[in-house]
Amino acid sequence: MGFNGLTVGIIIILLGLYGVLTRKNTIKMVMCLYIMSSGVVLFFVSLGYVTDGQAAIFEDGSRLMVDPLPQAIMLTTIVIGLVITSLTLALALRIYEEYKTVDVRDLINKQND
Amino acid sequence: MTNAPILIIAIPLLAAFLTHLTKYARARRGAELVAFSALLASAYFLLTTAPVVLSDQVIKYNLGGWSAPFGISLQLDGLSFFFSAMVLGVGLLILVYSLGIYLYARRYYSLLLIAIAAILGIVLTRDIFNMYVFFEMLAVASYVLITYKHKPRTIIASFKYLVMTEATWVFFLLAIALLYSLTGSLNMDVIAAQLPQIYQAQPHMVYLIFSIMLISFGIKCGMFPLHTWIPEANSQAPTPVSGLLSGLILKVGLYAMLRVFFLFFGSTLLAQGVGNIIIFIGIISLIFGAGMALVQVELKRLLAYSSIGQIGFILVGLGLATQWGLQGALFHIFNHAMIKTALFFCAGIIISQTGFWRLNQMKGIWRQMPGVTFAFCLLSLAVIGIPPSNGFVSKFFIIEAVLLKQNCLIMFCLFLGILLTAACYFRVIQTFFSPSEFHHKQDFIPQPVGHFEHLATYIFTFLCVVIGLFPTVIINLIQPAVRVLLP
Repeated sequence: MGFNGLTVGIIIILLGLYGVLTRKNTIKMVMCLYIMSSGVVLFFVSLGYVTDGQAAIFEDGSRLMVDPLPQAIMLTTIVIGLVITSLTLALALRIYEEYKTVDVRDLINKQND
Repeated sequence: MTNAPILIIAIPLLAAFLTHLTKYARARRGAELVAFSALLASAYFLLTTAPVVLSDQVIKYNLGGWSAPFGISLQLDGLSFFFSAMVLGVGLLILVYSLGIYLYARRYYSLLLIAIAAILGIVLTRDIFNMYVFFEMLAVASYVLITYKHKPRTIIASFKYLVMTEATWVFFLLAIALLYSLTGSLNMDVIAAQLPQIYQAQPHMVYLIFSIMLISFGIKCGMFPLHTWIPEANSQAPTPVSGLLSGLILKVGLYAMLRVFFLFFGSTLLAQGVGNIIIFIGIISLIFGAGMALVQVELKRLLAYSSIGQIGFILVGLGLATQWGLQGALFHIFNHAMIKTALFFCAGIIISQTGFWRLNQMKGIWRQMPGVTFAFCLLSLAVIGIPPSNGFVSKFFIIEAVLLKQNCLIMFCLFLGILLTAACYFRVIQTFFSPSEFHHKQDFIPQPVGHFEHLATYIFTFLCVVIGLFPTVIINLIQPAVRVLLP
């Protein structure tokens, strides 16, 4: 098993998951969510990768081509990732405006008061 | 054959954008009118398909004219019909409740319509990636709906829900990637046809995909270890949104479980006894949810924990994967959607009319609001499962299924769960009827509640009693759905 897009994708997802689970800063949590989403995009696009393959646009006969479907659906995923990230950042901003903190531990303390 | 499947989804989605344009119209209640007519039109197109679907035929619709393995296809069968009917019915009554509170709130109706369109999309689609997209659409709409009142605590609740769900759904996308690499298709029929062979060759991959999907759908339906977003989000959200979350959004996770598990793993993993894991999780959810509901001090939080318990009950029926079990699970999904939405409506009316959050401040409520208290009592009987109510019939089916399995331990746990549920609701009823004390300081300024809120609550309560007396009406709807799951 080589060091290809699939392995790097999985490593990036797990790094993002580690960040989401351990970071206490809301902004950093949002960043880690986006890192996870990028990792899965890399994984999915690498699934359709063929060495020396070309885009699936034929002008003369059949050639070696990469699988176009993962690329098409990953465009959708990137857009969804953008929506989620902007929404999460907006929520983090509102939390900062209300509670004047980005630290999750402070938030829990202030909520229990 | 017919355009009904796409119209059912497209009409509410189009109307969601039209509600914003009503700003330029002269009509006084433009947004409300658009939302209502969209849901009614959607329900009309669903009803036109009823004779075909209920006679066990399947309506397929290929988007853009691309046939099944290449394009996205929608499919309306018994299971989809049952869930679509439930979603549109409960959605309409949530809309009725909202009429009284959110006058001229275009953004609210727009988001509500997007959420309902997304649920209908999840229910009708036959493409696994399309299902993911609709799930994300539903999630985005619900994150914003929870924060609709702009109370500070709702924003934290929404943030927690968002981070938990999105981190899990990245892994769902990974499961889709694995399925695509194994089968070369995203169409659910193609994947289902190939999975048994893949199970022979690489069982560990199938187990991996199953576990990722169990966790992804579990976080949506709130099964035990993944439930932590529910109490916060459900108790802080505005009342109609609590009804939407508990009544419909939790059920969507259960729908996805029913559809995907029985289609993909029906002949392999479920036949090998993997359903026992779901039963185990269901029992823990049931006892945990009912037990936690017993010690809550806030009324809406109590109802939210009780939802987790009832979801556990449904999971037991689902995990049994027998005729009786599935019939009971589907019936209880339907009943719980109605009962819990109505209970949240009752709680919402009581809370906004008294200005109290906590249960111990609500003593003697029955003098002020006899109608709502009576409705709450009837609905409590339904959620516990006492005979003249719909909850009894569905719980009876699930218990019958457990009896046929001859498993005493599951039986004992189910009865323990029912007892805990009964204890928690009787505690609420006792508080409502105990002598009143009027020395509490109000949490916020009470607002008078209009007729629409009462109307929606009473319609739900009436339907619960009627379905309890005549359950065969719904059972006739459920039979085709069970035949889809167990061919």
